[in-house]
Amino acid sequence: MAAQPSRSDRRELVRERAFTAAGVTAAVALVTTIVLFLLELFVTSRSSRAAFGWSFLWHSEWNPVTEKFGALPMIVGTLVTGFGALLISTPFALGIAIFLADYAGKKVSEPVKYLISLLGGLPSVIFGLWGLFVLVPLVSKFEVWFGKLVGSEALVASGTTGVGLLAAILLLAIMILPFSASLILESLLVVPTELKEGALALGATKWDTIQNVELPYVRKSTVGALVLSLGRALGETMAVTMVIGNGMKMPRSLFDPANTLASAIANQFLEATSPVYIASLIQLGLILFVISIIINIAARIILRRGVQQ
Amino acid sequence: MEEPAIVLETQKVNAWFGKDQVLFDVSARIPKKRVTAIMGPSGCGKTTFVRTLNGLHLMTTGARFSGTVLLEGADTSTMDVVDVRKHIGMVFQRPNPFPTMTVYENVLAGYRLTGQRLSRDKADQIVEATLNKVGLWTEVQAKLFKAGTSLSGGQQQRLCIARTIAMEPAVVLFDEPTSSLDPKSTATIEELLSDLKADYSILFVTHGLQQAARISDYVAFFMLGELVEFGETKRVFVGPQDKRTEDYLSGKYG
Repeated sequence: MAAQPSRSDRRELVRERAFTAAGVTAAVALVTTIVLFLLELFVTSRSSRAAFGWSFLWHSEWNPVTEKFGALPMIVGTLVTGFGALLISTPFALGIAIFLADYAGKKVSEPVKYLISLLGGLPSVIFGLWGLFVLVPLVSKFEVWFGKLVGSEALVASGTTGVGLLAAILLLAIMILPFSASLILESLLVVPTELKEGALALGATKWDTIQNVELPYVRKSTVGALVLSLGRALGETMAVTMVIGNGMKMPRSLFDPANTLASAIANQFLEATSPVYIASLIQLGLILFVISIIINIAARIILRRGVQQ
Repeated sequence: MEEPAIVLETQKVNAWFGKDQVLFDVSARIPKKRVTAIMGPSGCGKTTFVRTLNGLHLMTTGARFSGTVLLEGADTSTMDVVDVRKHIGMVFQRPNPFPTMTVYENVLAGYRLTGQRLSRDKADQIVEATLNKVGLWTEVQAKLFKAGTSLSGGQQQRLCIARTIAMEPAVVLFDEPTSSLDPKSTATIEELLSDLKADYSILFVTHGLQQAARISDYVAFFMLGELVEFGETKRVFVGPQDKRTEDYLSGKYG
């Protein structure tokens, strides 16, 4: 034990220490960046808080001329588009995941999985372009048809251009679909074979097994996957900005042009001239940051519980 | 001993995983309401053999199968595999109660899974009677609404036996059900078998010679995918007719 450490041992030790130091530095840098980032948002948005206080959160007027700013329409826009997209995409995500996990053979599921990850990696500006040139005209047609159907001018008073909340919801639903589908698929794939066989051996059909054994087994991780997808939808900027219509009033229907927190910043940052205008936009960013953090923590808690089970 | 009726009969059963053939022309006649041990060295095809009987063999990708399985004289290939499994239950190597279900729900899992509704009274009655049959009732009476996975390993395995016999199958396949259990739990399950065979025909896969000798009335000896010898346990153990059986019994390979 008291023997002289050999040369290679010492070299090993030095390498070990250097690596540890590098790792610690990287970790500290990461945390510092996030903290500084928050701090910066907080400091630069100060004048907005000084002018409006907490009422920024529930005032719905956004007027650069009179310099009155309230974030409620954007908060509503963010939550409506986020949850709306989740609501629409979830059944499809579940269907795709179940099909790929239990029904499709390897010859089908492998290429489809690849396509899904490809779709998930597509730049959002491409989704935005597609949304603007394909989805928005369709929504516009739907608005005209719907207006004739209900005969109420009020419902479509927002116009029939197609841009607005509905277009943003549909586009987001498509954009988060690959993400939630692949997360749910991953959790379905780790359902133990012995549980599936246990169910089949009792005379259950494949669908009985999925309903009563597999889905309950992945319930928690599925909720976690959906919350993570929601987080994506809430923060998505480019594509939403292109189809939501930059409306600063409180939306009254799904056909109204609106803004999310992210799209408001993207739409208006270049026009913002007065300090309090800029500070208010940054304040929107801070609110989005906090919402994202809450969603992420919620997802993590749910996912951790899912593992424990 | 009177010659018992035959519950299951296989005729020239062959099975493959991809290109590897694991069963060769296995023809066996399984007696009714007896314990038949399926024994043999590891990799001899005994698990595959029982999995061909309830169609689970074909769940593995690349698995193939040929031959005939007759259940009470009826060709199972003409039946829906889901129905076959209602008549041929199975208990697995490792206890696999459903983790999202309570003890109570696990006993009734077969009913729930196959969409059969039970009245509250009937359900209670089945749960109590079945848990009694596997000697679990007094042990878990107070834990009926706890997760099935909260029980000990041996209890979990008896819970899995309970959920299988709750469906009143004709045949119960046991695939080395005690291999992951301690000696005491193993003994409990072995004792259970002598009660169960009053109502069910039992096939019991084991790689333990002593276990086969203790529990079975009949024994099938498999080697390299072939059914080498089949007969009354006493007869086979005392006077094996095949040289390979004799070698195995004397411990030449294991």
